[in-house]
Amino acid sequence: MGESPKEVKKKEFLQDLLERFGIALVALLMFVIFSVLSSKFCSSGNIFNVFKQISIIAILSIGMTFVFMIGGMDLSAGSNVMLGAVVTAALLQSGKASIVPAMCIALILCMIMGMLNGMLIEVLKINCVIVTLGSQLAIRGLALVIIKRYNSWIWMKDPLLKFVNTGTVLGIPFLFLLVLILYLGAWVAFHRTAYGRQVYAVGGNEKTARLCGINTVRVKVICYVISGLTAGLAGIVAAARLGMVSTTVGIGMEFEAVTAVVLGGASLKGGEGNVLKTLIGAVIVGMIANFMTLFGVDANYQSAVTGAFILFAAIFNRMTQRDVA
Amino acid sequence: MKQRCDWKKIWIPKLDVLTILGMSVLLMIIFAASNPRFLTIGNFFNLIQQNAALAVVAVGMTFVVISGNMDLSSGSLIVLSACTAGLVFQKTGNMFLGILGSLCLSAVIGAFNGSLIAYGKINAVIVTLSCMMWARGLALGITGASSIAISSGILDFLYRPFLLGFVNVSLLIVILIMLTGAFLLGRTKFGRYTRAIGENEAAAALAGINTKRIKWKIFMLAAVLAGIASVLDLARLGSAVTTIGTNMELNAIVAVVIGGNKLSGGEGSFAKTISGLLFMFILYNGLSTLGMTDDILYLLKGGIILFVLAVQVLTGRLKMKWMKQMNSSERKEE
Repeated sequence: MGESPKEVKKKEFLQDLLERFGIALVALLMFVIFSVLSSKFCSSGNIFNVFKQISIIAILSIGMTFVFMIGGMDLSAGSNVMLGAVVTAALLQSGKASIVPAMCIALILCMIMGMLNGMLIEVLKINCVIVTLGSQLAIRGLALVIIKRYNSWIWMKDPLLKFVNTGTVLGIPFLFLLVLILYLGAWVAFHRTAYGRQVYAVGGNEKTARLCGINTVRVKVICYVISGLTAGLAGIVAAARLGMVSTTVGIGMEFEAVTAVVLGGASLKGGEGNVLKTLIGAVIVGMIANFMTLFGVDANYQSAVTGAFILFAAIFNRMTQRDVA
Repeated sequence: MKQRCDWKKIWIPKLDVLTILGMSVLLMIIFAASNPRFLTIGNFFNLIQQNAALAVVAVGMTFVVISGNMDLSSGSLIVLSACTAGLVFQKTGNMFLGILGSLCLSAVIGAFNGSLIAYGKINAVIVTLSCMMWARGLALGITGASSIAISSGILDFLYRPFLLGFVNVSLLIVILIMLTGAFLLGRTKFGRYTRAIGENEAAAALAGINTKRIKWKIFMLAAVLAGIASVLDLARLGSAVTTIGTNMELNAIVAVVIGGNKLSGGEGSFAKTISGLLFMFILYNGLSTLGMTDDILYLLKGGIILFVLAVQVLTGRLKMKWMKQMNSSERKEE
């Protein structure tokens, strides 16, 4: 109304900036607050520590981003993490395979699970939430069947896994690098390949994408396969981090991954989202957990504080966005 | 010929409900064959009593799902309300105040979540997901993760059977809530608007429906029902335990959807929810009477749910096809 075009332009520019970097701002704000409140928080050692702590969720969130992008959801991811960890551990324990083939077999198995999910969802056209809820039970059952044969508890003593957990490359923790490399790979897949563009197209408007000649079913099934793959990877990292595999690995992890992805601004309707923002979402979740440990929050209240912080982050993120409706 | 057509008109539109009921009967026969005590009226009502809380939560979830949303907070709301009731009882020794407190708390949280979702336009999944975390965390925190035993006349009154050895007040409450829900969904403006929002929210708003208010009411309803469910669970268990309500929201969603309600919203009925619930009750109770270990239990549960979903989808397609045929043949006759 009473604004000159220049002012309007400036306002729009600011709005755009906020919309684009809103979640990064939230992360920065939290970082500053936490640093002020706890002197130990802002040290390079602790920052690497945060990254190590979030590595499992961060890796899991990559696949979840792919699935969210096509308007889907994968609630079986947590169970897939367990399957990946259990299969790797069981193969190592039984001496049937050395570490690399064991990891490959575990990853392939997890990818098959992802493919089955994708087939049920996209070929039979059953809702993704309900399919992955069912397969969450079924995959956990499968993993439990395997681990029961080893008395529900497998120690991991492989040197390679130990390196994954504690090793450093040029003074930087390997896990930190692994997470960065995987995210870089995912970013390239999204923004520099034909497949990535197809994913955005299918998520944005499936009908149009199909009419443009994209094999939408294939694109979507591959997203679920990727989710299975990253879940398997997360499982192996979880096995390495914990040094053992028990029956509780991966429980509830799908919700943490969903949290990271949604904090990263992905829409549940698909077509929106950015894998680097997902990483920021995962970092936020990790910072909160780390801060609570440093600050000495009662263990019983920790999930309450996490939930509250996530709610604040979501509200703040919403305030930075333009009104959509 | 004419009569056959009419008969078809009755059963084809109900094909999805018939499928799930058929599956339930099939499961029942299998379980009854392996355990003779499974198929008694007493056990049947026992099934409903054991799962009274789930049935009540599923009523709220039906509205949420039909409006095209999802509520992940129910299970945590149940544990928080139950723990609140327990603490109030511990402090005052009056269970009536405890129940009042738990219902008020769930209503307040429902109003809060509903406002964020409807008026704040924040995604329902993230709001209820965060509520799922903070409510359970708060429940753990205020109780110090220990359980509170409650012995109170009111809870006894709710759970003690007064008729035929298995009819109790909580069963009547469940049935009453079911009927009210069915009435609200099928016969009132609120129910129609809920469907309209699930079908196309923008169109509903343009048609003059106050979609925000309806959405707020839906989440409020779901939260209050979770509060009632917590009281029923307290009556069943006799103590406020911090593990109650675990996975309740997911089980409720599965029950609602496996009955044939569409998770994408816009369509659905209480006949579907009730048949879905029945199926889940039979599946869970039946599997647990077989005395299997966890691992096989998980595999079977997941496998059966996925299988039934696939069957459900295929019969859904068959139904659409037959409905089309029926309509076109009707037109020819005219």
